[in-house]
Amino acid sequence: MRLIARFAQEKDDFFEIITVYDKRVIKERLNKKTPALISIAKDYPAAVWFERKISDDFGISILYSNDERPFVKHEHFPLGIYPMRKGFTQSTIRHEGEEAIDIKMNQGVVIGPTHPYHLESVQLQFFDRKQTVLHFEMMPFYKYRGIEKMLEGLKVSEGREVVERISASSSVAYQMAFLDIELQASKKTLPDMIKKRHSFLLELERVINHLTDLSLLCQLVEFSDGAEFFIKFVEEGRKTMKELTGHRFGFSSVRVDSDFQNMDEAYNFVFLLEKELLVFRKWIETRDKILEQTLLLGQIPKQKVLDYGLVGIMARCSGVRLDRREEEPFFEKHDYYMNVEDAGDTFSRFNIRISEIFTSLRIMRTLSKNDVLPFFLGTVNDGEYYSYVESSLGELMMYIAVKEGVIERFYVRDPSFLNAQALPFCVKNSDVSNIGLIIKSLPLNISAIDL
Amino acid sequence: MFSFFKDEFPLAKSNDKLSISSDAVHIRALIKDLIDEKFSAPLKVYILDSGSCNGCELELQVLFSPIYDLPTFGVEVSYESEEADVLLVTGLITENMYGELQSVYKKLKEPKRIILIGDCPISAAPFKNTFALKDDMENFFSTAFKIPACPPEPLVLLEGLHEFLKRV
Repeated sequence: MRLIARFAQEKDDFFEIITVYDKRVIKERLNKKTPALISIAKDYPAAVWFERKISDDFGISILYSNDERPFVKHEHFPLGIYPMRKGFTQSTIRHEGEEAIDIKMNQGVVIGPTHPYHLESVQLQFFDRKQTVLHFEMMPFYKYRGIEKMLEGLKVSEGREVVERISASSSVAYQMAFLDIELQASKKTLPDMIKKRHSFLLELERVINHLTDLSLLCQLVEFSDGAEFFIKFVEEGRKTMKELTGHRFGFSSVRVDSDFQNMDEAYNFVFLLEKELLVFRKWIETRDKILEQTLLLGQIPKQKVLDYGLVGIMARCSGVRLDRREEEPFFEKHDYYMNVEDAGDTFSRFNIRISEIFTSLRIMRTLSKNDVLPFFLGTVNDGEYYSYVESSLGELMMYIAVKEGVIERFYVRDPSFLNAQALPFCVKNSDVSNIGLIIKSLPLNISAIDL
Repeated sequence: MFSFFKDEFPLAKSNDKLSISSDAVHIRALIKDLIDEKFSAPLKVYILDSGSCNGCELELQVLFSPIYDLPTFGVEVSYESEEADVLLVTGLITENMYGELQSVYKKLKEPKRIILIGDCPISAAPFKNTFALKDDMENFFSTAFKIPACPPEPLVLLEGLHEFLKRV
């Protein structure tokens, strides 16, 4: 079974641990007096990050874990605070008792949280010998915003404004997952005519994000014309998103009550990009220096992908066929097919993004404009709801428990949360000078890890 | 080593459709004039993401890309806070990033200039009700220049930067 997520929630008399696999969901109850959870990291190495978070959030001890370091709490964060417990109702953090200290790798290089390797704040630590990386770690949660707690007690509809801003570059995917939960909770099915509109935006978001990554990768291999070519289309994509939704990142765009006014510009973008990207792909095929710099760099074997349950292009680049869109008849109807590579290196992560842009553009072409009839969400029913969306970074999972009409627990597992755990393997044994290139080749979004 | 990339990709610069607005071209020139007038060297900015959704960073990235090409117009990104003329802060001020913010602020040379980018560091909306933010940041940022919006678009950022430079 593939591990998708592992998280906790507090009930009246016990803590509940929910472990989501691809084939089933397992729930465990822990007593509140001395809560202790047996680690599953031996079978599922990616469970370590989930379990460290559970420990910091709820004060639950993790038994038989090989990593008990704080995860969410950085320097000066009071260790005695367990923010996800119901009893924690402070509006701000009072600094009392023992505080966390930042864990630094002995004799290692510590970079950040602010540094040129990534746009967003995240600390990187590594240990090298003669410029070869022997050990590497990523320390997220510097941007910990307490979003899971913030949503508790709100009506579901009140959560939208926050959810769409968790991660700007994945805003459409987050909104789609959230809407899916609203639909489940109100026992409604979205008509295809509205689904088409949302899927168009999701594919546009995917295209923009892939173009952004391609531009950065070109920049790092000092291919300035490539960087310029891609970034121009990023800007054009954002303008198109604004034309369609009123916002460059598509905030508040996944709605059920309005339609695009005019799609002419959007189709022009699709056709122009498709035409010029074909020329680019043909042109790049006849030159092999980009291949020289990226081939076999930051490679991750298929078995590691399966062990860590990696998603999105991290899986598809190593020959693992995993894409939520494949399971949806809607996408099958609209000309979707999966792009897969085998090498699992930086070159294949470059290539697959280009192939996936073509796939997205083809899907967008089939999603023609049609008139949207009025549609309303009904009353939200209490219950537990799970949603999955294939964002540009990979499989996004969202969970909301509704009790007495308000959100009792909100949890998101962004694809970055799993994929970031592949970094140590990708970077190990490579030259220190290649760290930036390898990091940029991975689909990572720190804001979506640091909820 | 990179001789291949001296080959120019013919479509990189050819498309007139994909160009910036005349307003942006105009403001960019004004920014260059003000920097030439008030600074003896390019203006160096240090970008600190203290808890953003990555929207502001992506918009800033476009400004420094070949599209808006701010480095050619006198604004450069610095990765050493000691060298920076201006600190650009994006995102909410989280508890976990507060230490980094303080340390960067201390290293800034005098006069310490800060620009708050986006609604998050200015008003925290819509993330007001969270324990994870550092409270009482208003005094810290009392003299900071503010460029609101969620996130500010490249043209808004250019206009804000221009306004900031006028006041320097």
